Amino acid sequence: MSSEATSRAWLKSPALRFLILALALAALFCLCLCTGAVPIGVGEVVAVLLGKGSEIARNIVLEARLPMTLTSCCCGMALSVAGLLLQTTFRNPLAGPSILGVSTGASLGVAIVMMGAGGWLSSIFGVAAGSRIAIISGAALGAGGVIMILLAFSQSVKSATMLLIVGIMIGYLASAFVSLLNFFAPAQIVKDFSIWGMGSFMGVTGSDLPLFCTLSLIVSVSTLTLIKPLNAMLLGDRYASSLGYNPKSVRTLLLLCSGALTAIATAFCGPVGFIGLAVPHMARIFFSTSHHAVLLPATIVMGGAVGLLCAWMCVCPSSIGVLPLGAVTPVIGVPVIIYVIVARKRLNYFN
Amino acid sequence: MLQASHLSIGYMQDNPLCSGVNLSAARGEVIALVGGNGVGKSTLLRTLAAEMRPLQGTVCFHGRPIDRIPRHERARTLSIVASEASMTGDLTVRQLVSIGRQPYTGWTGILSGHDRKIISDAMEAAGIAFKATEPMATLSDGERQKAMIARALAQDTPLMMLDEPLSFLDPAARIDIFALLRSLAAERDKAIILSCHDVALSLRMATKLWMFTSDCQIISATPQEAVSRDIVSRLFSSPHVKFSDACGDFIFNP
Repeated sequence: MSSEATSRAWLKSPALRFLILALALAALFCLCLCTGAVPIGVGEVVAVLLGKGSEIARNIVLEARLPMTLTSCCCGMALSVAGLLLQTTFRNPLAGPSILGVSTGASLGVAIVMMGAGGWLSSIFGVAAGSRIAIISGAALGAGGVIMILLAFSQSVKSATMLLIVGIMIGYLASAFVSLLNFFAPAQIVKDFSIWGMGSFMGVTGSDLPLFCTLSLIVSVSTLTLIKPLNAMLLGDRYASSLGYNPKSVRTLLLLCSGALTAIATAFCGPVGFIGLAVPHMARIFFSTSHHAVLLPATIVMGGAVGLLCAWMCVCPSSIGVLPLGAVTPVIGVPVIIYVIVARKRLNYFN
Repeated sequence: MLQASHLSIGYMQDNPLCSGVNLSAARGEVIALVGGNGVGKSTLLRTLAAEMRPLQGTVCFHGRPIDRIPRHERARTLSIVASEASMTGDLTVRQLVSIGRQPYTGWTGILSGHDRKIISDAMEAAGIAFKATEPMATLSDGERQKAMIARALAQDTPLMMLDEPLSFLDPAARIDIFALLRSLAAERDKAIILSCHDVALSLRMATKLWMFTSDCQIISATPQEAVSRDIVSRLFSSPHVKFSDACGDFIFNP
């Protein structure tokens, strides 16, 4: 190795990269709280967070911007971890919750409960709680169902690319059912569902906020206990087996975690594309490793940051209102994926 | 150490690839499993490694059926180098080799000083220590194979199985890897089993051959016996290929 390379080794140290990422996360967090129809300065935002500041600023920051900011951060984190788990499990860098149809499965589950069972649950638990329970369980069942189908196919379809295509087909089938349900549903429910279906970080308020943040944080962080099996799966089933794991049960566990994270994010924020696919790549490129002891925590932090970036881009053109989330995530995600495909010869992890 | 008795291998009960197999492997041996394409070399290795069940018979490690040994214990008994493609390109050699220590670390996977020493030692022994901080993707095929062997060494097992470790390697790298396996078996007292297409090289370098003949038998012999009893010529059924003692290799026989 050349002396120039060794003298620059500290630049490549993961600790420094984590520091840069954490600073970016903090900066984006503040930016999200400052940006909106009413511009509020950083000083004022800090004052509000410390329990001071003017009445108006308090209302805007604490009631509207803070929930959106926290939601975007947690949602980005959950989807990114879900994407990384899928990519490692299927050893396919182009896997992701939206590509493999897991998000669409969750949407179908939500469509079914919104248009069918939701009313019945509301009559038992009251409208607000009933519909929330219905949406979460619908998303979980839908995502879980698609995960099970993928798992079944992965036994017979060995090629990663073919499995990807199976996932895309499942996604199309699920959205076909969603269209069918929409066709027969009353107008009001169709409207509710299509608003939810555009995806938004604004919908999580009140008592939902702590629930969503806790759920997504707990499941995301608890995947840190899976670093060892994830590294073993990176080498392939035979190696995982020779290292003392049962590859089938490890794969099932990883897919269930991924499904749970997708379901949580989709239930509260609607279907959000591209984050789960793109962020693990951004983390791999930034930290230049696939070793999960670095990559998994990196993906968690990077996911939070990218979630915040998307939220900020939505509220940025404050004079014309809030942009739909579905219009922003591809703008960040697609260039990353295209770069990864074009530069795959230079990116070590593709080889 | 490893003993296969009355083994019948394959995927279908009524159509075994090979049956009545009796084989044994001892410490210090480098055993080359040779035979034509598709005769079942991989299947035999998978059966011996308890990755799949034998149709009949048993595989025992020190008298214990290998599929009854709990997974975590088996991981300290047997390591593999598989030919399967994997997503290891941006792991450094050291990171890859450290994965071999998984059966010995706690759930966090944090390496002790002892683990680190074994990892460095394994890279040294496999002759890949000079690439320790390089990503796997920048290695040549031969170097990559050495890194995979170092990973298996770090797993610190008495038994090591390699599935086609020499394919895609040039002749120099083949000899290099084979010599490495020989010295590991001798110096570290391991039993090493590898499947291989290069019969000539195996005759020169292995201490024992398991020959998968074209009529579905597996014959175990030393290289000398394999040639003197003319077992090698039973490997392939083609009438246009014969084994030449003079060349020590197969030649065209019009």
